[in-house]
Amino acid sequence: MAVPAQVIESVRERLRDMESVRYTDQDLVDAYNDALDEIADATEFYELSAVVKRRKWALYTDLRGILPPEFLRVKAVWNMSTNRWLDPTDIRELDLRLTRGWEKNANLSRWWFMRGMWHLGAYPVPGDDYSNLKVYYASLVPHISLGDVDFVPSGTFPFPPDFNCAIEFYMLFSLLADAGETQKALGFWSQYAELEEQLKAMVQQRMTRDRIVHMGARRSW
Amino acid sequence: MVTLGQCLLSLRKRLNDISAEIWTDAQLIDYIGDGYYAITRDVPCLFSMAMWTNEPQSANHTREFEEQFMTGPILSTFNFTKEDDRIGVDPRSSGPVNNTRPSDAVATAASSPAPTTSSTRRLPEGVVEIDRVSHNFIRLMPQPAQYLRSTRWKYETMQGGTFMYTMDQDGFRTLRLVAVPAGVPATYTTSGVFGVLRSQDFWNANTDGGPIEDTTVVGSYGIMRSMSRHFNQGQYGAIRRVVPDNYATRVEYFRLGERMTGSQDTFSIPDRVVKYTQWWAMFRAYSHPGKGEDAKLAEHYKQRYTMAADRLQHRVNAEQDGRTKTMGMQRTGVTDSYLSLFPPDYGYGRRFGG
Repeated sequence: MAVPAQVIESVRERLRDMESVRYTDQDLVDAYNDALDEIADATEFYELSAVVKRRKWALYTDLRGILPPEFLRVKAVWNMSTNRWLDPTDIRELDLRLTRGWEKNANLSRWWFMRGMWHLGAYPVPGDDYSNLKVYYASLVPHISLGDVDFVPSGTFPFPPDFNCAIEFYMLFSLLADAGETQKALGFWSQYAELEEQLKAMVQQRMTRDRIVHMGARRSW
Repeated sequence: MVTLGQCLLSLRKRLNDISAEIWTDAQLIDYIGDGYYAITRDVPCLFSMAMWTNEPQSANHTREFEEQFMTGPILSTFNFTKEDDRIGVDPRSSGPVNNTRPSDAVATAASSPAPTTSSTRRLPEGVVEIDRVSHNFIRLMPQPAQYLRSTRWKYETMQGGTFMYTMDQDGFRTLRLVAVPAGVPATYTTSGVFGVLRSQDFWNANTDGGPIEDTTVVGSYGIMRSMSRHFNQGQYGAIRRVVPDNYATRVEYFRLGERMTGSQDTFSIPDRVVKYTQWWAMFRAYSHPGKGEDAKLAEHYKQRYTMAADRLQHRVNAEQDGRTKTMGMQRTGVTDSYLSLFPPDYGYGRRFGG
């Protein structure tokens, strides 16, 4: 199982064969982090949760400063007061289904919705200062720093190890594009894009196999 | 949050032009700003609100260029003060307005044919799209002006019963309420002339129809940073002005990213989306005729920007994918709904309870 140091070393080797430009360690680590960002953004494979405190009567909570800037999107919301998942809704439904002044209704929140990227809305508004929500969200993978590269133990890095070659291809694309080797760079980009699609499919189909029910029939395998 | 300076440095590394031999800083900052505008325009994702208090039409300057020199409140422009004066002025002149402060308008309203409140208001410069408008907690329906002209033939001056708004006859960024609001919100009294808001007690008195409860200020020092019912525009700063919803107009909209000039200015979008602005900037940089021109990479980064904008659009609307029920309806069990798709005699025969 390759750790970041091995991936970086592998890229360095390949670049040595094909390119006269010498890259610094920092260049390679930056390219590695870039690749991680790209693949996490495309596939949303990295998922975290955080507790969001709310103020009494506050319809919206600005997630800036609460969730890290690596945050991508909210996936689900858990009401810690009621021990229930909140159902997603939107502003049109709230206007349509509720009476005028619904923004003021204070009770245990049962619905959540987003306004833009940062503002999490929950209806009804909390009637106290301690109705916290647990927000599950997709995020970018934390970056590795130059000093940490050699100290990431195998198996602990939150990235599927069978897709390390996708990271390699992206790094090669990125570094060669910087060096003006457009043709070679775009070649690696298409190899990366193929793997990105595979990882995306894998993330979306994590439990598809188990979800295929053959009701009343024998399983086909 | 990423600053403009960090973004510029990162872009220079990607363009392999750290020493600014090919592209100048000004050029790249311009490209980044362009990308910032592009992504926040293509994908409305920066949410904001404006509260309007519909004060009567007041004007305190005669030409728009004067606004850059004004230090006080900027109200409307006016060129004449009485309807009788219109005969002697340019047809495009604005007016009549005969007061320079909203409070003066109350005294002069009786002799003026204009409504006692303002029906139009100019939206902030960076508005991309209106998401929702409400007045006195009632959601206003957006309507084309043509429809309003044919159905409410006096809406220019008719007051009371504000249920609609229109945006297609008064100027690109001007929103008109239909009908003209009947009143202005009750104003909150501020103690003192200087300083910032330290505490508040107006919402305790149920002035906006909300529940009567105490709102305590957290901490004993410093300033108020946020209030429950008040929408903070930005992440930083303090509360400047609080407007209750009674008789006020709340405009909820998506905006462009702010114009950034200093290297310490931060983006309002998540770090990842800043990368999308860089891709746009790289497209612009590689397209620029000269030493750094590279048509293939320009095309590549343009495609990546387009893909990223699609991805972001999906992300902004992603919670809708998780909707399983409609408000007010009973939830349908997953098992039940699945069974209903099969004919009753589907599968092998099996003894009941076996």
